[in-house]
Amino acid sequence: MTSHSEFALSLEGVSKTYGDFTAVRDLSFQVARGSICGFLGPNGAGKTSSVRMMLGLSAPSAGKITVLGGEGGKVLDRIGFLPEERGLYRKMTPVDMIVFLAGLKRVKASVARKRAIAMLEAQGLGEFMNKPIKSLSKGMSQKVQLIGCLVHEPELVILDEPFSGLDPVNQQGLEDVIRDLARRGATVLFSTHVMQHAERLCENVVMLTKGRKVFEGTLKQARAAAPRYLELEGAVSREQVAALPGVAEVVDGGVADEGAHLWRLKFATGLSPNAALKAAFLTGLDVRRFEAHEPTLHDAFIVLTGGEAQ
Amino acid sequence: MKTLLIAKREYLAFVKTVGFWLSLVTLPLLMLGSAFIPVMMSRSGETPQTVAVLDLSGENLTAALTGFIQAQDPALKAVQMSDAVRNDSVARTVAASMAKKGGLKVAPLPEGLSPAMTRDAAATKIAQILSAENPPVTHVVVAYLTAEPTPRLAFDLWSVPKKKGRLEHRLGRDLDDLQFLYAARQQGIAPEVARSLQDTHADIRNLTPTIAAAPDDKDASFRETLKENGPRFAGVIMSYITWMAIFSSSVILLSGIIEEKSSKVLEVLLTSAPAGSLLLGKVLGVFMVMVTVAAVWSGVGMSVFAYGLAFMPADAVDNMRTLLGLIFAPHQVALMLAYFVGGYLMFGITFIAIGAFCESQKDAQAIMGPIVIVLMIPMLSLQAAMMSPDLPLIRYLSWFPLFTPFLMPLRLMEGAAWWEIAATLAGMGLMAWIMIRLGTRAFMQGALGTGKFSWRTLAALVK
Repeated sequence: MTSHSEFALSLEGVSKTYGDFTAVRDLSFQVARGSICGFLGPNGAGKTSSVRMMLGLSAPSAGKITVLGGEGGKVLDRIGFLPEERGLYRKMTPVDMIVFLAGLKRVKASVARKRAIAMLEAQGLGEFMNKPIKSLSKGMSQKVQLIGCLVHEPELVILDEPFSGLDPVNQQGLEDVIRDLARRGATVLFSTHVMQHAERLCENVVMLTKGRKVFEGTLKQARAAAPRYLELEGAVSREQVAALPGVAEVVDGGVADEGAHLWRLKFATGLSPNAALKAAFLTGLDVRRFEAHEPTLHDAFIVLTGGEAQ
Repeated sequence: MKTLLIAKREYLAFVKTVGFWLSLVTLPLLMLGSAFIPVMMSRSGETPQTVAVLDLSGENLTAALTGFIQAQDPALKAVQMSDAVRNDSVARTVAASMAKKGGLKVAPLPEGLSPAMTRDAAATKIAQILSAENPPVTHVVVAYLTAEPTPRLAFDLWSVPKKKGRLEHRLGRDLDDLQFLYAARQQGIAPEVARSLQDTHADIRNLTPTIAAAPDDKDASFRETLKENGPRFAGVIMSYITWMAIFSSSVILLSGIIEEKSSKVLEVLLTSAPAGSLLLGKVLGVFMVMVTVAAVWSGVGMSVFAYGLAFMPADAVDNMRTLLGLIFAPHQVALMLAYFVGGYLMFGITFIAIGAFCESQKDAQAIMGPIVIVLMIPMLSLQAAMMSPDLPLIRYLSWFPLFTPFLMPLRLMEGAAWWEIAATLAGMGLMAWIMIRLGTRAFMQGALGTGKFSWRTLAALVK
């Protein structure tokens, strides 16, 4: 039995209802300290409602949430939160805004100012630090918001859709920041519906759909939940490939060169395409090229969430 | 600490703007300007209008009419004013400048007009004269007798275009007096008798035991009136000021929270500070803004007042000091401040809570309607209080906690009973506490939601 102290975040049987509508239903999962956890789900899955409960902004209708050993609302100073919709005072300068946010987390103004300047310069915003935020581009403002979320060196960082609206270069930069946070011992939980980021960053993921948890585990475990598939090209018919062992579904990939045809063979969850390949060669099928594909997190997500995420 | 930090940001965000200081300066200037408007209007900035007199009545009225016009001569008025304020160089300068503007001047009768002509002939000629491009006079007063069985004095007041009515405004009363004296003479009453009859009035004295006890003290009556009406007048002013301060500060809070809600800053703040701290910080910040405004205006007002005292007679200064001592006694000031704070908390928090449900001012207007109606009730009561100070309605309304902050400053000045003060403070305090509790819940619900304020929301808050 593990104690809560090993986890930065623990939810036990948490539900949230708004009138007749249930936004989160019996949600339980834990996030180990120092890990990066992806909180995944399609739009409207209940991610933001869950995050708000973790932060103590709204009380669960049922269940218990423990954040850094206490209640979310009582350990706010140790949490960094990046909301989905950015919110900054447009007339303030980036450095003043960050110092103000740090002050709310009980960081001394002099310390906060030094950190703010260093972080702004590190993010390439040195020359904009004393200009009003309204004069900054959207990407720059998002960086300011991120710095405001991290300036007090939080133990737990919760990022709600952090990559939305960022260009590829800034997305890469944010991924580096998240990895760096974990290296320094912070716990990161980020919600997203873009699986590629989670795939590159997370050790563990929690998947949600319609307010319910549909998966919790490692990336490997998540991928295992999706079927593998094999691309096979040759002068073979649909019936011939469908008869191969383990093949659950055959998708027509179109006509290939010199009378050959491309087929995508999906295998039942947990089955390897090895047996099918062996059978194809043993039966003398005219196979000219094949390529086995491991399932991606996206594949797993589609399977686990019932195809709601696009 | 978080509360103070939020208050500081709120305060600086306001006072660091140019608009704040402009509005701070503009309002006293506007008030000063409005005080000078009547003076400016009386001066009108015009060159004196020239008036010729044509007496067709045969009653030798030219001298009298000329005298009336001369009395409106700005140069003469300036001399009188200058004499009255001979010790003040500023007032003398003003008087000298007045000599050049406004008023009336006697002009010789234009060519072609004569007391021997008929009224019709005079009318034709005057019309020609005043229609010219540069007429020699701006007005002509024509005096004549009516052809009724009992003749009456009558006057045609001719003017160049766009000056119609100016003469009647300045000479109307004098011309009435002239007709009165003429009518008296027709009845065989000597002019001296008629004049004394015209001036006769009942000798009325307003007495109180204090005034009666000092029959030789001419100022006793004035002092008594000042003591009696001064506090009430000051009370109404204080109530209006309290109303305006609470309303304007609440609107500032409302606008601020709407801006934060629409720009999503509110959610960020709520993840860093408890809702209570956020609410209190904002309330405190805007309160400090109001304190700054009050300090600046009071400072300027007191300086102007202190300067004005130097020009007042010593006994008037004593009277004024006595009155101000009554109004601004330390306990009175403390109580007025307490009522303001109570009202500010009740309405400020309510406005913040409303703002938390709104993405724009337009959204807020729909919800604000009932609150503004509630706020208008004490304002209307104050108008009634000016007319009928003993109205029991004012007393009853002041017991209702939502109206207490606006009506009790008035009642304090008139000497409310101690138990009423204690009870209204307690009632207001309780109401403020309830509003803070409800307001905080509403604020959280509104700040994090995207829905509108509804009956269901209201029911959920009260639960």
